Parts: sequence; C-alpha cells; structure tokens
Amino acid sequence: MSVTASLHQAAEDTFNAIESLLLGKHEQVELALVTLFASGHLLLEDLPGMGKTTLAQSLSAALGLEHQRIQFTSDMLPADILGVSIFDQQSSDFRFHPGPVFTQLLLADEINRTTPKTQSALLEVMEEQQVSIDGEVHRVDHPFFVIATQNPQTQFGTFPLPESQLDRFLMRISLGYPSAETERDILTQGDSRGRIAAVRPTLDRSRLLAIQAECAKVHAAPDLIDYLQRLLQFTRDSEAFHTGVSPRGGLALLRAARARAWLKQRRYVVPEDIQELLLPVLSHRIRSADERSDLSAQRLVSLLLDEVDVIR
Amino acid sequence: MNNWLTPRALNWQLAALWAAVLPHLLILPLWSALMLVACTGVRIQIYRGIWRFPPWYIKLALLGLLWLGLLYSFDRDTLMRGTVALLVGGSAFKLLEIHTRRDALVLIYLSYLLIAIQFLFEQGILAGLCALIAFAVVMGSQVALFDPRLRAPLPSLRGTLKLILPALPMMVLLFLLIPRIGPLWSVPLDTGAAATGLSDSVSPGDISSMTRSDELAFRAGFDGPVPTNSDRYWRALVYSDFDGRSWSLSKRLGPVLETVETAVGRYSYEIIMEPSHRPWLPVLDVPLSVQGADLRGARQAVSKSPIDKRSSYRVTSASRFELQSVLNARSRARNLAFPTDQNLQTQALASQWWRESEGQLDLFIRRIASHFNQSFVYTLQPPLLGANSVDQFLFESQRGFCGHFASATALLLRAAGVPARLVGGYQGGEYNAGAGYLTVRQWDAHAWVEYHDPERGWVRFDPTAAVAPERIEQAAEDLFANQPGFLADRPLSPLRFTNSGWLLEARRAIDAMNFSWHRWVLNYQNQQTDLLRSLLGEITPVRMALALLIPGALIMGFVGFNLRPRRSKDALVRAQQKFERVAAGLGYRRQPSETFGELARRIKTQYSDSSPALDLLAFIEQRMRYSPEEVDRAELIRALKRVAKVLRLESMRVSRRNALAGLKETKERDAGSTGR
Repeated sequence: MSVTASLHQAAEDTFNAIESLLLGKHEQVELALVTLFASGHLLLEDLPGMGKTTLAQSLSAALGLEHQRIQFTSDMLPADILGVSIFDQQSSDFRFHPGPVFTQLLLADEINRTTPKTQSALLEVMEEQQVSIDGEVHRVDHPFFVIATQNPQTQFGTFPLPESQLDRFLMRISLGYPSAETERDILTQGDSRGRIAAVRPTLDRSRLLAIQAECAKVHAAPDLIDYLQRLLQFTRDSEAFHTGVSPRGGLALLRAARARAWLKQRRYVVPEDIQELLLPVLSHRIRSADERSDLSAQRLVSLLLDEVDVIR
Repeated sequence: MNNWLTPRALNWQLAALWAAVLPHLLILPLWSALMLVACTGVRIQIYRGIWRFPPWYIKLALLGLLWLGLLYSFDRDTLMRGTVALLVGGSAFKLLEIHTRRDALVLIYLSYLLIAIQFLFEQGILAGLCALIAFAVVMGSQVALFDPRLRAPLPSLRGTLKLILPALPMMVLLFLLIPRIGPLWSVPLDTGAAATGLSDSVSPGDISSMTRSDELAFRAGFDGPVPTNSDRYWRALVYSDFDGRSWSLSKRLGPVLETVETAVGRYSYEIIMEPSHRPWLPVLDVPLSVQGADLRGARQAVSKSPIDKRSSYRVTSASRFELQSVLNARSRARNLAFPTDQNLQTQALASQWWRESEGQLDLFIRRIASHFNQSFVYTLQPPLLGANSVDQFLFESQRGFCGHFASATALLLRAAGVPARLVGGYQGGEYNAGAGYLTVRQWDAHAWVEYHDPERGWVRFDPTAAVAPERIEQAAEDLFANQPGFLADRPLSPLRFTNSGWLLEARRAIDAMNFSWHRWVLNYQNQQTDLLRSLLGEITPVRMALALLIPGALIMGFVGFNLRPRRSKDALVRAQQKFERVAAGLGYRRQPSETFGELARRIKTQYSDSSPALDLLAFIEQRMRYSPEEVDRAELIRALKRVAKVLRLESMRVSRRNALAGLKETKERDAGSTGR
C-alpha cells in the first residue's frame, strides 16, 4: 500500500467515524475535513444545539489532536486566551503561562459574544500562527485548527465579526436542522456525546501534516485556473456584488478545492470542486450590492454558476 | 435569475407606462388618470411587500368599474377615445398582475402601442417629440428588463443603441421609398364632427352666436409672389340655390368648367389642408389648375374623397381674370332663381334701386355697398331672424356677419335680375415672412358674393368690406380680439396672448417649423414622387420593388451577417459547438457551469446505447483539461465528434421506436374497439 493510498484510507476512516456521530451531516463533515486538510479555519454559524460542539469534539477525537475549548463571553480579555507572563519569585523571572490557544484544535465557542479586542487577538493567532507577548514570540503548535462558532447575528448582545476578520476563516458553514428521518434516529439513539469518548483516533499529527502537504500539491490545470479567474472577475465586474472577491479569497477557494480533490482521491482539481465550494468559501466574503433586496449569498453563487461559463 | 424583476426594471416599467399614457391623459376623463395613479400606488406597495397582489374578485370589480366609467364618459361619437381609455385602463390593471418577466413584456408592448395610438389624435412636432421621449423610456425599460447588472440606475445605453441602430437605416429607407397608400379603413375620430368653418348650406338667420375658432384650416406655401391681404380670397364653395332662408350647394352643378378667358397675375402655391372631413378644397380666386384634386363646375376644387387626414395639393391661380363671360340659359336661370313669395320688402327695394341706378350694374352695386355702410353693424352676435330673414336683416336688425351681408346682397342682385351666387371660403391668412407661407385658421372663414356682369363675367363682390373694411384689410385676430365670440371656446388659447412683439415672432417661428414638419414629414408625398422620379426615372412597379428590395436586402443582410453564429477556426471549439447543438436538440442544453463531460453524463441516463461514447468523452475531457497528463486535443475532438454522431443515430432510433410503439398502440386500440 503506497503512502498516498494509506493516507486516503485514513482520511476515509476519519470521515466515517465523524459522520457516524453527526447523523445526516455528510456534506458538512466533508467540508470540515476539507478545511482542515487545506490548513484553514472553520466558522460554524448556527443556533445553539445544532451539533457544533459535537462536530468539534469528534473531529479532535478522530484526528488524535489535543484540543481546547474557549467559551467566549463579553468580559473576556485577550490574556484569557493567549496566556500571561507571571513573575516567578523562585527564578526571579517572568514565566509565560500559555493560554488555551496553545493547542492543536481550538473550539472557540460563540466568538461573536466577546469584544472586538479579544476577537482580534484570536484572529491574529489564526493568521500568524504565533503569539507575541512582552516582545517574546511564542509559536503555536502545528497543525493549528480553529473551529469558531457564532450565533446568527440577529440575536442580542453580539459583536459581529468585521468582514476583514471573517476573511481569516476558510469556510463558513452551518449545520442546520436535521431531516425528519435523521432526527428520529437522533432521538432514538440519544445524545451522541457519550460515544465520542469511544472514538479511536484514525489519524495522528504526522499523518495529518502529510495529508496537508499532499493537498497543497494537487494539480490545478491552466483551464481550471482560467475558470477560477473568470469567476473572481465576474464578482468584480457584476453589479450584483457589493465588492469583488479579493485575491486572498481566490487563493482560499483554490486551496479548498485542492483539498476537496484530494479527499475525492483525485490528483487534480476539476471545476466541480470549485463549484461545490463556492458557497461555503465565499458566503462570508461576498455581499449583495443591493442591501434591500434579498439577494443572499446563495443567490449570488447561483448567479456566478449561471453566468460564468466553465469552458468559455 | 431568468424570471424575476429587479427593482430598477420595475421603476423603469412604471416610468414607461406613464410616459406612454401621459399624452392620452390630457384628452381622457379624469377618472382614467386617477385609476392609473391608484394602480401605480398599489404596485409600489406590492413591491415594497406591504400589500399583496389583489385577488381575482377585486380585479373583476375593477374591470366592472372601468366599464361603467367608459359607458358614463363616452358615447358613439367618442368611440375612439373610449377605446383608448379602455386600453389605458387595461394597462393600468396589468400593473396589478406583473409577476414575471413575461408579464412585464406585455406591459411594455402595450406601452409601444399606446405611443403609436397617440398619433391618431395629434401629429405635430411636439407630439413627435413626446412620442420620441416616451419611446426612449419604454425602450430603456425593455433593456432594463434583460440587463443583468442590478445596481446601475440607467439601463445599458449600449444595449439600447444596439437595438435601435440597425433599425434606423431601415426606417429612413421605408420613409423615403414606401409609397403612401391611403388608409384601408378610416377611424371615426372625434374631432371631425363640428369644427370646420364651412358647411354645405348657409342660413345666417339661424345663427345667434358665431364662435371663432383658432383651429388651423390650412397653410399655403407660395413659389413666387404672395397676394396682398385684400386679394386673399380662398374660394371653396359656391352656393347657387336659395330657398328664401338658406343658401345651399347646387346639386346639379355639372362637371363642365366655367372658362377663364383672361388671366393675369399668376400665383403658384401648395396648400396643406388640415382634416376637414369634407371634400371641398379652398383655392385662391380664381383657380386655373389644381394638381391632386379636380376642378368641378363653378370652378370649385373638390377632392375625390373627404379630407380625413392632412393632405396637400398644388394650385395655380390668377388674380385678375374674366370668368365665363357668356352665361348659358340654364346657369342664368339658376342664378336668378329665388322664392318670390318671401322677403317681399327686399324684392321691392331691389327693383327700386335698380330703377334708380338706371340699369347700370356698377351703380347698383355701389348703392348696396353704401347702404350697408350707413347703419349696419358687423357683429358675431347677431339676433335670430324670423321667417323673412333677409327682410328682417335689412330693415330691422341691421346687425350681422359676412353671411348676412352676402346673403342679402345676393338676393338683392337676383331680385334686380342680375345673376348672383353666394361663395363660401376663407379670407385672409397670416403671412409668415420667414418661411414664406400663409396660415389660414377657421376664424378666417368668410362668405361673399359673385354676380355676373355681361362684360366682365363673374365678378367678386364682398359686401362685408363695405360695412367693415377692416375685416378684409386686417388680420382676423386683430379685428375680432375684442368681440365676445372670439376664441370663446378656447379661453386659454395662446393666440390670445401672442399678438405682438417677440411672442408673435416666436409663435411664427414655431408655426414655420410645424409647416416644414407637415410638408416634409407628414405629407411627404409630392416630394417623394419627385425623389422617386429622379432616382428611378419612370416609376414602374418593377422598379419600385427593386428600389425597396435591394437596399432592404442589403441592410437585412448586413444585420444578419453581424448576427451570424461565428464559425470558429478552432477545430475543438467547432466540435464542442456541434455536440452542444446535438445535445440541445435532444433537450439537454449545456449549463454554463457544466463541462462537456458532465453534460455527457447527464445525457447518459436517457441514451444508454451511447453511454460508452459519452463516458469516454467525459473521461478524455477531464484528463485533457484538468489533469497534469499531456493529452492530445485531437483525442477530445474525436471523442466529441463520435458522441455527436452516436447520439444522433440513437435519437433517431428512439424516435422511430416510439413512433412504431405509438402506431401499434393505436392499432391495438382500434382492433379492440372494433372487436367490442
């Protein structure tokens, strides 16, 4: 069995393990894995009780990663998540006490409950993969994967993440309500949290890093790059979009598409990879030009699909 | 994205409807406007999500209201306007049921129709301009409907131009070359009923109040000199029959022309006649020849059919002439006839004067004129006259307008044994020096007398000139401005205010513009004939057809050439287009987001016999386009061609099989039914 084949096998096992805990969330589990394999961060937007925590916990269990969880509140300070330097009387020195971000998988719960200052502290770690405190740079472990959750912003007492910071998340997805059938299964089987402990890791740190490296190497043909560029260009030219997608957004889309292609056991990206990822990758990066109209991200994406020819 | 309306499209649509309807609202009853306002308001509320679309019973009730309104406001004479009101109402109601793009298109086409209908009522420059603006707005709304850009406030100018530009040369060509054919049917427009200043009989005693209307009667453009005001006698009708009260056209007026024996001082001019709904044409006294109409007995110019639309004719007239110096017995008898049992006083007066003037016609005429000059008053508000109307006028009321004077004069002449007749037409006209034409309005309508002098033939005599010479020498509007009947029907007529200074100049300039517009655009007919002659030489049907077909074919060919599907030089693109065509023929249109491989996989579900070729295509395309492997393009081209061929064959087989199955089924059914 080649290395690649065994990695694919491991990824599939991981997928199955997680899916068995999140009934009926095939697509979202796949997207979460794609985000992870593309070394990105995931933003889950949902009401409480939809299985966000279950997803995060089962991911960390199946991946064999150490994980931390931060429940954000409005009185939280950056030091609460990054850590503090405390004077140690014995060694007469400042000793750094790492905060919860120093982990491999971080579940940041209700990130929009905390102040922008604390939010930006977390987002900086996500981008830089390091924490600077008192002039000292503390590197965060690799892989470093953040799953942030937030309640839909119609709720009270929230600080919506600014667009510039939303950009740090590779994808924004929501789990949504289960189907009637799935819900009956959930009700029959009871809470799945108890079963998370029973999950045995199917991946480990080194193999995850190997997968991430392989994903980054997936081939993107000139034809595909052209298509992607046309899509991006359309968001900038069309009057339907408030602003076009940035080059960073384009890179994110390609990165995710590569990981999806790898997950589908392909050595190259096909247009379908990009098309399937348009909504989760772009939904928090695009905004309709007409504020009043109900052109949701969903509609903008279908506009992209309808107007941009894949072949040209 | 295909069927829903953007807010901009909606705004434009409302604007389009309003632009098309606005000119109509001026002539429609107020409730039409209110209905449109209400429907627009409801539409906006619906769009804002505040109200819902009205249910069917409300729409039905609205329709009922519309019909009630129509029945209330219109009758048979105003049928045309009623129809327009119905159309406007229907368009307004359409606002209440616009759900999809198709509905919006219906409204847009209605707007185009409404713009065109406007020309039934009004064809001036202003109307043309209004229509042009409305057309632009409607066109804009049509473009906005298909414009994918959501935010721009204006529809794409380029899109609009692209639609209009190819049509422009065609329009010019059609305008220049298509022969003007008379209307196949005529629409009873409401304006014709009562407006004209001429009628087929004159009975002055029955009129107590004359309304002088500023409505345009005709315009005359002169090639050479223009007659002075006192020579501007526009002759239209000759009334030879007198029944004691009213003068009417002679029914037996034959085709034989009265001959003009000497003619001096020629005027050559073109008249553009406004619709009068009558066949008589005014011409300068006396017409020598008329192009575009006939000269009938007594030298009346008569059109072959009533003037229902603006038309033009060319006339040559002479200012000094001798008309029919020898009168035959029958004419003589007709022009002397009058009921001897009426107006006895007048008859007596005539014989008295004739005796006093010792049989000299000149003296007799002068006698009449001086009599009128003594105590008669020219007025537009004469009293009503009783049975012996001429007697009453001459001896009691002594107040009247041209008809009274002319009628009395003619009777006096006949009673004295001088053949005489009443002539109706127009006198005067406003000269526009800049553009060189005369404008004659209905208030210039006039009546005078012709009597027969054995030495000079028919001689014009205008008794009104004797009592009110200013009527002849001044422009009518200056003269009548202080009379109560003047413009009584038009309290706000611009002519009330523009009798002097720069306003007058401006009015004349606008009028000149209108004249050119009528002459070169609306009545482009004589000029067209000239143009066609100079282009084609003699006009024959074959040449006409060629003149229309060749440029038309060139234009259409050019447009078609630009619109043709471009055949690509790239063999791959050609193969792809072919596959797309075949697939579309089978009902599988490729979506923009679909690769050919994906399309092939979609087709595979129905055309299973072709699935190997389809699979191969999907496989090759994916490898060639997206994998790192080097795959020759030729392979994909081959796969595409193969799929197109295989699919076509299979689809033929399938349809044949279906047809056979259908046939068999029919047979079985027939067999079953006969067996039963």
